[in-house]
Amino acid sequence: MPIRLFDAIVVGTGAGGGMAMKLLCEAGLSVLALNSGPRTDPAKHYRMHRQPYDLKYRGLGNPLSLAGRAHQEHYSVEEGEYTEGPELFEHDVAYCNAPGTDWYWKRCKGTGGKANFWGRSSARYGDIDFKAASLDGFGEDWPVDYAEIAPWFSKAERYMGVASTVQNRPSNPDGDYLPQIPWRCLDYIIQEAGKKIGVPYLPDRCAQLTVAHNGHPACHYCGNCTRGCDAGSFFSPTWFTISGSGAHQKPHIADRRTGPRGSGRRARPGHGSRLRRSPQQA
Amino acid sequence: MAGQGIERRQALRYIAIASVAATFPGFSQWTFACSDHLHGAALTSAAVQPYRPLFFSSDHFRLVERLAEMIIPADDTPGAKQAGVAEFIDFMVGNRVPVSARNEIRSTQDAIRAGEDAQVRFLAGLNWINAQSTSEFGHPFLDCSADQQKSFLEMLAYKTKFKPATESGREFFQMMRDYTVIGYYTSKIGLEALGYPGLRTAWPKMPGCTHPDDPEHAHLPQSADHSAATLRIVG
Repeated sequence: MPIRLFDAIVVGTGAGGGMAMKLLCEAGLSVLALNSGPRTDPAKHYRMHRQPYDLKYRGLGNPLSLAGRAHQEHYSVEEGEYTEGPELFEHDVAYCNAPGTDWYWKRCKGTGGKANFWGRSSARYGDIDFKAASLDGFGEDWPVDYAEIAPWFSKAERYMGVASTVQNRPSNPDGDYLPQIPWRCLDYIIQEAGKKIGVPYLPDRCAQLTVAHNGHPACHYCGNCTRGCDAGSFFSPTWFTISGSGAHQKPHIADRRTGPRGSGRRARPGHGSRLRRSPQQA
Repeated sequence: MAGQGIERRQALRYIAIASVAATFPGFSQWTFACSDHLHGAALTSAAVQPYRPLFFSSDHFRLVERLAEMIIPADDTPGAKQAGVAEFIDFMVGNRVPVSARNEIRSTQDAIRAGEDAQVRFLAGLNWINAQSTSEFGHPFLDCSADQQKSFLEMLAYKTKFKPATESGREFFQMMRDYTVIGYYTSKIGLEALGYPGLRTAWPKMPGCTHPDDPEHAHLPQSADHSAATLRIVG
């Protein structure tokens, strides 16, 4: 197999890795991304529009399907039958706990990782966070302050598409937002109740597309975001940084099942897969 | 009877269930839109044959069916029987899928344990119902009159009607209610009866509050109209 040199290697393709990959490619570098699982395919893997009665175990999952595997935390998209097949998720715990402790962390091995299923809450840090030590004496101040980081928050928000409102709260500064997600009756009722006890109830900063944005369609409000979006209407690596959009070039990807091309052998599962991208054409 | 060990016959039954459950037969009362491999022959045959319980004996299954229908009877919407709740319970209990108390379940092992626990509790509970009803009315539950059945369940369901020494029966009835409610409201019939908006999976716009000026939630920060089709930079 011929040796191929890359300018940069990105390990992991989730929220951070996916973004690094995209930016390095856009900067003209040739980038190799390593990912330990298969390529996430929304059409194949996501079952967001299934009703409970469409699912064999009504969405509760079959506990016996993972019997004998390492301890598993419940994670809605998997044991809950809302992904097709179990291959996206890790089934054997690759870390250890201190004796007597009870902490588990389920990992999505598919490209994009759990950012395919994330909660989409995208608040900015404010100086209350960056300068916490100066304010309350705990920890260390960051070497940057809000004013320096604010333009980068804006850049990220404009790319991702974040829906919210202007709220004028220094602890959670306002950003560049799409129109907010309209409230339900319940939201108005809670807001009213909150006023009586002095607790503001405000829209979250939510990376969900209330309008079509950067080539991605507006949300269709099926309400199943944590099962992945088959339309790409909220920010996820699979729909944004990995697959590319607009001027952003689509990558060439090989996952662990493909193995090194032309080598005549398959890559061993669990030993890393390759996810290659060519540099963007000028 | 309650408190009695599981007979060998029953143990063999569990083993049989595990193999039967692996080849899911499909319920008679609804279909699984998701599973292409279940379409066709399996469902067609299931639709004409009466449901054969995986886990419960036919006597127990009829008792489960009756209890479920009494918990959610048909009124202006269909009841538990029409929604196939007894089949749901038989399938979930047989497959050791814990349906109630899921917040105590943190792992696959916990889930399997809870599922096994549910099997034992269901058998003991159904036997308790029959034993208790025999001692009160002289008949197993299903042979009692409708009025007797009603007053019997009210004794388990309502605090003001509790009788002493029925704790285990009340605990079982609570679990039976959980399974019934979850079985009903995860069926198409139940969700339609509820008017569940999630049955519609694509909305042209957010189905949000349509009456934000209602006095119940006054003092709105802004209009609820967000039909603007362009990116609005507000920062």
